[in-house]
Parts: sequence; structure tokens; C-alpha cells
Amino acid sequence: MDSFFNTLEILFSQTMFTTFIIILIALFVNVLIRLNEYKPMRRITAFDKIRQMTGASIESSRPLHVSIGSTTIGDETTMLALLSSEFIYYATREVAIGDAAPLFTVSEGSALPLASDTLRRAYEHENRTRALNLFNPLSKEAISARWYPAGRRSLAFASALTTMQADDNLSGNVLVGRYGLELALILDSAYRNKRPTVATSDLLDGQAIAYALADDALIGEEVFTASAYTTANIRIQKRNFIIDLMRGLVVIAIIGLTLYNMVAGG
Amino acid sequence: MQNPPNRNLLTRFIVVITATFVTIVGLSTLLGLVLGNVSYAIPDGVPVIGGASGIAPTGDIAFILIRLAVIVLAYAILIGVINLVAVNAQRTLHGATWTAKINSAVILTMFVLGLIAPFINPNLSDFLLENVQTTIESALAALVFFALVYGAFRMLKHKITFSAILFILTVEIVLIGALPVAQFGLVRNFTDWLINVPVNAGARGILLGIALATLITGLRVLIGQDRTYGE
Repeated sequence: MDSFFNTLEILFSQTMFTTFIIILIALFVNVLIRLNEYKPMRRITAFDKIRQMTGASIESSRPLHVSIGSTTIGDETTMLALLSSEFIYYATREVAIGDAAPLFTVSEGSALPLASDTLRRAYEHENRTRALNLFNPLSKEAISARWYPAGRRSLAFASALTTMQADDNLSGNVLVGRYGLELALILDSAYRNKRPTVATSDLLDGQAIAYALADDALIGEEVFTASAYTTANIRIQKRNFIIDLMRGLVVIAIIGLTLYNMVAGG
Repeated sequence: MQNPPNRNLLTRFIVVITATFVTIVGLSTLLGLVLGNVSYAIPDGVPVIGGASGIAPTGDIAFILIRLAVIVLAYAILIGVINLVAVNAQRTLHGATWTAKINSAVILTMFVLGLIAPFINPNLSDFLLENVQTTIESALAALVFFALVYGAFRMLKHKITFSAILFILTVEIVLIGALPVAQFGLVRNFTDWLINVPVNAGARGILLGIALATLITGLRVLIGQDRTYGE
């Protein structure tokens, strides 16, 4: 029995093996779980705030600013970029019925097609593609998808977003994706211009700043659950359910291994 | 609640084709990166292809696909530059405020200057980058500290909740512990414990949650259950 546990200990100390086991369990759970109806989810105040902001944008005819920061397609932030833009898609579908189109900013050039496509799909869903300007510099409507180069430490991007708060007469900001310390500059400018802001980041320093300075913040993996709060799509809720379940399994595994180490004197 | 989008047969067909394509490309890249080129030998008993053996170029296919992605991404910078010029031209002509018009006009002027600078003086571009952009970015980096301190003060003013007070108290203790004063040895020990135990545990918890969510969503995209890339 002891040799069995020793073998397990050696195997689980290998990152590849642990990852492989997690992937296998996730695949198994994904196939096994069936979700047939929409289940109520716990309340997250940031999503109430976003709903208020989309309403305010429509009523005041002022653009809502959405951004995915420095996430992009092609590196380790690809998944976060896709999920953030999925959330923005559902959020901007609400805004698409208003007069002012949202402004979608990115700091990586490769994320620009993603931003344009997200807005195009949102407006197409509401049959209002004509109200969206994606590339015409001669139009009176502002160009909605914007690339601001990051520069070193994303400060150039932050300074562009700082000036946008007043210059573009924004109604509010939804900042999801990846941000570092430079987020403090954007949030400070948003506060001074009285623009409500919901922010989050997958980096810890950005997350701490979002928690301290934004009106509301999404913590940890809450951004991955965001789409389920803005649409009644069962497929997306199933994803949240699997994430919750896997987190529960990891917690049980951590407690179990700690107890085993205590008992075995490891 | 949203109404489902009106999809015609062609749109549905495109969605199925896209999902299949993404799944095949994603899985073959993943397999190629994990396994490399795979040797195979099919037993003689298998009809038609029995007895065949060789090396399947799964690793080579993965590298070709990655190289394709890199080439496509390189072109994105060109799209970005065109977008930057278009956005600022539109803002200069029809900006919502005067400051927006002036800011965008300055950016456009700098863009044109950057284009003609190498013809006037080959070192002018480098000079502008080193003496204007780097200096301004350094100044901005210094401003971050003031924004943070002011933000903490504002937090106490507006968000007086238990977690906000805990947040500020922790920041204060860590700052006091960082002071180079011999009398604060006890505080320094407490700060070390605070950073190593509760803060580290919380940070790991958050990062673990993000990593798990990324992994599961990535898996669902790979097997075609999540189509975050389009409808």
C-alpha cells in the first residue's frame, strides 16, 4: 500500500502528469454533465453595474468604452482574449440599440480583428450594422475598434485611455483582460471624470488595483463566468458549472493530500 | 433574455465548417507539439492498409500551422497602423470635443514627421523616441504611485466595508514593515508572515482559479463545445 502511495506521490510531483490528469478529468466531466435548464447563479454586483452602464449609454447617447487590455490572439492570453471578447459581445448587443456605438480598445495589433469582429457580430445580431463605423475616417460616427500601441509597460496605451475619458465623452468603462500597474492611471482618470468603471485583470497587481480603485471589480476567474450573466445560453452556463466543479475537486485534492502528508508525517 | 439569432442554412453550414476546421487544426497542433513526429506500423491483418509503416509528420504539420499563425499575426501590425491613422483622422475631423481634435491632430502630425524623419536626418527618429517618448513614459510611471496612494485614500472615503478596511490595514502594515527602522522588527516579522502565508495563499488561489478556467475553456474550444470565435 505504501509503495502505491509513494508511486502516486512521485507521479503527481511531475507537472505534466498532473496537467494530464486534470485534462482527462475535465474531459470526462464535460462529457458526463448534462444541463437542461438555466440555473440561478450567485449575485455579482459588477454585472449589475455593467447593466446600469449599458442602460446609461443608451439613454445618454454616449459611448460605452470596453477594452481587453494587452490580451491577444497567439500567446498565453489567447483564451482570456476570446472569453473577454465573448463577454463584450453579449454586453455590447444591449448597447447596439442605442445611438452611440461602443468604443472597443486593444493594445495588441493582432487583437484588432477580434475587436472589429466582436462589434460587427453584436450589431449584426440587432440588424444595425449600418450604425457601426469600423474603418471610415470621413464618417461623423467615431471608429469603434481602436488600437493604441502599448509601448513599454503599456504606459502609452494607458495614457491614451486616460485622455479618452473626457475627450470621447464616455458613459463608462468595462476593462477586462490583462492590465498591470498602469491600470491605476486609467481608473484615476475615470474617477476624476466621473465615469463608472468595472475592471479586472488576470495579473495580481492589476487585480489589486482594480479592487481598490474601480467602482466594481471582477475577482479571479469571475471574468470567465461573465458571459453567463449577460445571456441565457445553457452552453455557457455549463462551462461555469464545470469550472466550479473542477475547482471543488482541486480543493478536495489539496485538503486530501495535506491530510495524507500530516498522517504519513511527510 | 435574448432572442436566438435568425440563422439561415448557409450561416449554420459556415458555423459547422468553422467549428470542424478549428477542432482539427487545434487538436493536430496540440498532438504534434506533444508527440512530435510519430512512427507507425499497421499490422498485416488490417485490410487495404495492412503492413504499411513509416513516420507520420505530425510534429512537422504542427510547426507549419504555427508558422502560418505567426505570418498572419505579423500582418496584424499593418492593420493596426492603418486603424491608428483612420481613428485619429476621424477624430481630427469630427471629434466629440476640441481636446480630442487637438490630441488626434498632434498624433497625426507626429506620424507624418516619423515617416519623413529618416529622409531629413537618419537619427531623428531615434532621437525623438529616446528623448520624447521614453522621458514621457518614465514620468507616467512615476505618476502611477500617486494614483495608487490617492486611490487608497478614496477607497476609505467611499467604500467603508470590512474587506476595504482589511485591504487598507494590510497595505499600511506592509508599508510600515518596509521602513528601514530598527524598532519595527516585530512589525517586519509580522509583514513577512503576512506576505508568505495569507497573501501568498490568496494569490495562489486566484491564479489557480484563473489557470483552471483557462484550461477548461481551452479544452471546450478544442473539442468544439465552445465557439467563442464566432456565431
